[in-house]
Parts: sequence; C-alpha cells; structure tokens
Amino acid sequence: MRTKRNLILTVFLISALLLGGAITSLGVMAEEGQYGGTLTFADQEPIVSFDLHSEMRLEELLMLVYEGLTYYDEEFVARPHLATDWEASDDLMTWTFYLREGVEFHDGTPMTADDVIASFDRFMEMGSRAWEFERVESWEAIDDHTVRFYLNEPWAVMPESFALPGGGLAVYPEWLMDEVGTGEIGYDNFLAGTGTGPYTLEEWEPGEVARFVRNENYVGPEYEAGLHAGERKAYLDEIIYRPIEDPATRISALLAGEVDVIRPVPSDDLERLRQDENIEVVISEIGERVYFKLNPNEGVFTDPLLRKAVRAAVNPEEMLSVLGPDEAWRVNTTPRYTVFQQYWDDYTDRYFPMNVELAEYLVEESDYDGEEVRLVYASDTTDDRVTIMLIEALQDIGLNVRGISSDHSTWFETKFELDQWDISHSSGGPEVPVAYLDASSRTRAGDPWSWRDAEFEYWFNETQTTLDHEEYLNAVDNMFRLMYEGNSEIWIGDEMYIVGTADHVRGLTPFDITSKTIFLRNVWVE
Amino acid sequence: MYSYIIRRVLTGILTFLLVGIIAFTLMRLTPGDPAHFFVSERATEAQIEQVRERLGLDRTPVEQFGIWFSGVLRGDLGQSMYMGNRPVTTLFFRRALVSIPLILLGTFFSVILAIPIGVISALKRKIKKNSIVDKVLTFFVLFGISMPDFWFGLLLIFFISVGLGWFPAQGYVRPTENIIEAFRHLALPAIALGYPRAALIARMVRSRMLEVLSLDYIRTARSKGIREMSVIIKHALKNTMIEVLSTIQITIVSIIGGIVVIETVFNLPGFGRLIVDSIGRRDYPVIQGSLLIVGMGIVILSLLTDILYGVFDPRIKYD
Repeated sequence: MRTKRNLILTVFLISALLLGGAITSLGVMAEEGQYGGTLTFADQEPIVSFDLHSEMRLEELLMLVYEGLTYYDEEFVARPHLATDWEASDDLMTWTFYLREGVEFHDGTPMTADDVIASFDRFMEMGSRAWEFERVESWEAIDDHTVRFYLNEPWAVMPESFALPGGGLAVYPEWLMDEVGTGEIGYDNFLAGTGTGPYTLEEWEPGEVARFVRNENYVGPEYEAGLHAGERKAYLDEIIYRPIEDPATRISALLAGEVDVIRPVPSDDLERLRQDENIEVVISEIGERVYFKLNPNEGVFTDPLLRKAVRAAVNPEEMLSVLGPDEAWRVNTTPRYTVFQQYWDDYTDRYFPMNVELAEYLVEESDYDGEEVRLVYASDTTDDRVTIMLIEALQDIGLNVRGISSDHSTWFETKFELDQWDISHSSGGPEVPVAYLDASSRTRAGDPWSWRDAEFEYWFNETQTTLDHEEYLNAVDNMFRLMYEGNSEIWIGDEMYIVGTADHVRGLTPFDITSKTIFLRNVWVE
Repeated sequence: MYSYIIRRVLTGILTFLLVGIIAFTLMRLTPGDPAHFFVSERATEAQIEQVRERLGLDRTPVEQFGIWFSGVLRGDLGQSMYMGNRPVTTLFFRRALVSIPLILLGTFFSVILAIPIGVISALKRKIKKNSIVDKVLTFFVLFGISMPDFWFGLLLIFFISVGLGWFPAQGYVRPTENIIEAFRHLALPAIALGYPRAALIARMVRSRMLEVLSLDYIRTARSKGIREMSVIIKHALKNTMIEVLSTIQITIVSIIGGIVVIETVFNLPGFGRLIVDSIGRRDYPVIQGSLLIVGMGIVILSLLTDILYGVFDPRIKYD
C-alpha cells in the first residue's frame, strides 16, 4: 500500500515538476520578445522636429532615430550609450569620453569623434540646455573614438548632464552640422539617414504621420534596459506614429482597433477602457508634477509669512481627488526635481503638514491688507479643476484671490512678467537634473526662486563638484531644506501617465512610461 | 459680363491685401511669443532673444510685414517655423488635398439632404396645413441645426465606428493609395459637417417653394397639363435656386469654418487642423499664409456664385 502511495506521489511530483518546468519555460518564452509586426502609436502631439538639441517633446520617438552619449538608468545614474566609458582627471577639470566602435549612421557612414565634436559645437551655440555646460571651455577629438572636454572649474556630473534625452547632446553627422550651423535642421535632412538609432525614419509628414523602420545594422549597448539606458531591441518591423489630439477620438481609435497604443488616457476614461477585454491599461510609477509657483520677488508674496500661509492652507489630497480615481494621482509634496524624487517618501511627512488654523494665523500676522492675489494658469481641464480648489482654499483663509485663465502660450509669456502675477499654476515631468537649480541665472522661465542665496549656491556647488555619494546626498538635503524654507513653490502631487494598449502589445512596463516616456524600442507585438 | 468680372477681380486683390494686413496684425496682437516654443522652460532671456533674432521677430512689425508681403507677391508665403522649416505652400496644399474633398463631400451631403426635404415639406404643407410629414421633416432639420458639430461627430464615431464598425473612427487615406478607403474615411466627417448645415438650406428651399408654388405661372403650367414632377423641378425649384445658391455659398463658408473642429475630432490632417495647430504654436508664417489662401478661396467662391446667378436667372445683368 505504502509502495503504491509512494509511486503515485513520485508520479505526481515528476508530473508537477515537468508541468512546472513547462510553465516556467512558457513563461520565459512569453517574456522573450518576438520580432516582426507593425505597431501604431497615437499621442496627442504632432512631431514637429527631430532636432534633439532643442528641447522637443516626444523625445522617446526622436530617440528611436537619434542618440546621445549617455542615458539615465532607473537610479538616475548616467550609463553608457554612444559613449562606452569615460574618465575624469583628479581635479575634475578634464573629462574624456570613449565612443562605441562600429556605430554607423543610417546612411552607412561610420560615426566618429568628429561627429560628436561637430554636434557639441552646434549644441553649445544653440542648444536649449547649453547653459548647463557653462563650465566647459573647450573640446577636441583625440582620435576617431575619443573626445575630451576641458573645463574652467571642477564638475563631477558631466556624464549625468549628457544623459537627459530632450534638449541634450544628440549626435548628428559632421556634414549636417556644418551645413545647418546654428539654424534649424531641415525636413529633408531628417529623412537622409542622419541618425544612429535602432529605427530609421522612413516617412515623416509633420502633424500627420511618422514611420520608423527597423535598422538592421544597429550597434548599441547590450546591458539590460532601464529607464532611458541600456539595450535597445528593435523588435518591430515598423512603428507608425499618428498624432490624435482629441482624447475621445484617441480612445475610439483604440477601441476600434485602429491604433495599438494611445497616450495619454484621461483618468475619466480609465474604467471604460478596462471594460474592454482587448484593451490593457498601464499606469506610470512617477507622474507629471502638479505644483504652483509663488512670486517672492514682487507683490504680496514678498512676505515670507504669507508664503508659509499658502503652504499650510492647501490640502493636496483633496485637491488631487478631482483628477479621477485614486490610481490616477498621488500626493507628492517634495520638489519635482529628479534627485529628490528618489527620496520622496522620507520627505513628505517631514515637512508638509496641512493646518488651516496656522494658515489663518499666518495671514493675520503678515502684512497682507486685502490686496488682490492674481493666480495665472493655462486653461485645460486638469489645471482648471485643481486651480479652482486652490483658489477656494486661499479664499477660505482670507486671501482675495482672482484666477486668470489663458491659453498656454499667453500663460507662459506672462510668467516672465513678474509684475503680472502672484501665483502661477505649473506642471512638469520629474526628470529635471540638479543643474536646473543652477543659481547663476535669475530669469530662467521667469522663475523667481526665493531660496537662491549664497548658502544655496554653496550646497549647489557641492552637488556639482563632489564624487562622494554621501556628501552629495548631504548637499541635496540642505538644498531641499532651503527650498522648503523659501516656500516659493507649492508642490501638490503627481498626475500619473496612463497609457492604453491593445492586448497584443508586449514589453511596456509602468516604469517605462514614467515621465511620459514609452520605450517603443523594446516593445513588441504578439 | 467681362467688365464685371474684372471689377470683381480688382476688388478681390484689395480684399487679398486687407486679409493679409488683418492676418498679420491679429497675430502680432495675440499674446504669446513664438520664440518661447523653441526654448526650454529654463532658457535665459539671452537665448530667447537669440531665437527671436533667428526668426526675424526682432525687427519692427512694419519691417516684418514688408518682408512677408513682398514674399507673398512673389508667390513665396514663407516657411513654417516648425515642421522642418517646410514651405507654407507645400504644407497648405498637401493639407488642402484632404480638406477640399471634405468640403465638397460635406456640401454635397448637405444639398442632397436639404433639397428633397425642403421640397417635400413645402408640397406637404401646401396640401395640408398641419401635415405630419412636414412636421417630422421640420423636426429633423431643426434637430440637425441644434447639434454642435463636434458632438454630432463624436456620436457618429461612438455609434457607427466603434459600435457598428462600418466606418473608420479617425484618420485618412489618400485617394491615390485607395480611393474607396479615402471615401470611407471622409464619409462620417462629411455627414457631421453636412447634416447640421442641411437644415439651413432645407428651410430656405421650403419657404421659397411655398412662395413659388402659389404663383400664377405654376397654376398655368399645371392647367396646361404638364406633369407634376416637371412642374416642381423645372418650374418651381429652378426659380428658388437664386436664394438657394446664396445659402449654399454661406453653407460652404460655414463648412470651411466647421472643418477646423471636425478635422480635429476625426483626426484628419487637413488645413483646418494645420491652422489650429499653428495658432497654438504661434507659427506666424503658416497662420498668415493659410488665412490668406482661405480668404482668397472665399472671394473666388463668391465670384463664382455671382456668375451662376446668371445661369439660373437670365434676367440678371452684370453691368
């Protein structure tokens, strides 16, 4: 009897093992991407240029074709891309980057150090982020695959500064850089095989369509992909991009099977998509930050007590709840800059308690005398709803607030006129490097930062010049403290990016769509 | 006749100049600096100034107008500030290949729906004061005129495209690629544009037909034993066409305005969406050039309508 039971048990175990093995191998197979197929992707914006030296949106599409020296991984550490390695001199005054060998532009010409130098020449002349490289005094090609940068003061984060995709140093051919100089790169040049990425740009009608075809000769990094960095597998034969501005049309196109991936999905439509068994919804890990800027340079908010009152008056949870279901937003009252994002759990509870009584007390103690507080914002649904809640909260503590709504362009221009506003609604992606906090300029984007003082500048320089991680974090912590004390930005939280996909699309992960970035390079279709 | 056309052409040239000045001035009066779209949120004033210089926005408005309009007179409407610096004419006429068929199809749908409704309503009303058919058709047209284009468009997408799968929900296929697919992609937008506007034409046809059907010559025609269909089409309807033509002209202009919304709803890459996108980015050359071409289109349409009056009513003299 026992023998029989043992035999049955043995057979069962072997069967279970075999089945388990089979399931495991199936699972592994399911994780392995399949080559082939076409994916149609629809976002709300048209591609208007492939010039990554200007800060363009939809950089993940541009990055299919054009690439930079380094990219961030999930820890926001710079990792190799067109550069395989780099080293700094002991005094951090010289940086040498070694380029990947065997990389070719899509027209078949090899990419060399001369192309990098020519691209950097143009980038420094007209690049939207050139100011971050003010420390770089000169640069040269050492040989075909080595470039060297000479600095006028120590700089520890040069590889990180190269790592942002939008507005960063994309490498274009030397002939093209010579041809366009500081002007715009023309339509025909983008279609002339001038990229190095995993896909070539085969067709592009601005505002209508862009068609990308797999680059069979692609040479790139081979380590595991994470955030922007790592392996780029061109699984798909073709990627077709069609902008669909209207959200209802975008959703209808996905439901009708006319497109495979749409972005963004309004949170109100989340459930509707989930009810369709052929659709999947992916929600990002980190979202678009919703925050307000106070103007500490002119008007009522020159009074620090009133700035503190605003901070104490807002209830981020209540404000964000208007954005839809809980999964569509998250309270996040830390600064929106990348480096702080990583530690947001620690900071949230430490600094930002809501206290209406305190807010009212601070208003009474301040010099506020009933003057009009002008809140400017760009009119779209999200801004409207969250902004209206802020207006109500501030009216409740006795501030005479008037909301001034305008289109995005007008609002953006108004921000530069510091006498035109007291509070400005803002939103932005989380991928902002520490260099953004550079204290050397006070007029960037009309941002009046009350916490830019000598102490801030000291800690900022620490972040830029130390290679010791502990020292770096300490400096960041101090910068954060000063920002909090300055109180010129009221951080509310993150509105998550929501992507809808047809169920045959594979390879998308929540972290991949962080900061609106879908890595179509590793996406495949069943 | 010819002197009339020459006079109208000369007026058209004046209109062309006026449209150019208005388009240019309106864009300069609208808040929002195009240079801001070329730089990051972190750009310095110096960088923004550099971009303004590159775009020629650092010159005085008079200088800017002079440069732009002298280009226009040479047939050069300039280049888009975005979109790979492509010439405005290339961008516009590529988009016009989508919009013009849509305008024609929308107008056709509108007319083909409106004239029978107007005629039948009038005939039924003539026979019986409280005709049910007249009331149903009147309700049908009023329902159309009461619905905003975008809302009707979304309803069509939801029920006909997503629900029934009969027509595509969005997008466009060029006739050179597949003529049937091109038509299928334009069908719903054309209905969305045509149905609400059919109401206006139908109301005009109905009221004019009611007037004409009471006139003596219609009674005379009937008493001569001419077939009823012939009386209605040849004698009555033809005499309503002067007013109907004017209404159709207004309808076309209204459809040109309507495509701005409908092209967005149905994601059609026509010139309506080009203008909207360009306004959002303050792409001055594209906006100015597009408004100029559309303005001229409307002037030409008006001239053609005037000439057609003479075809329908030989009594009209152009001197």
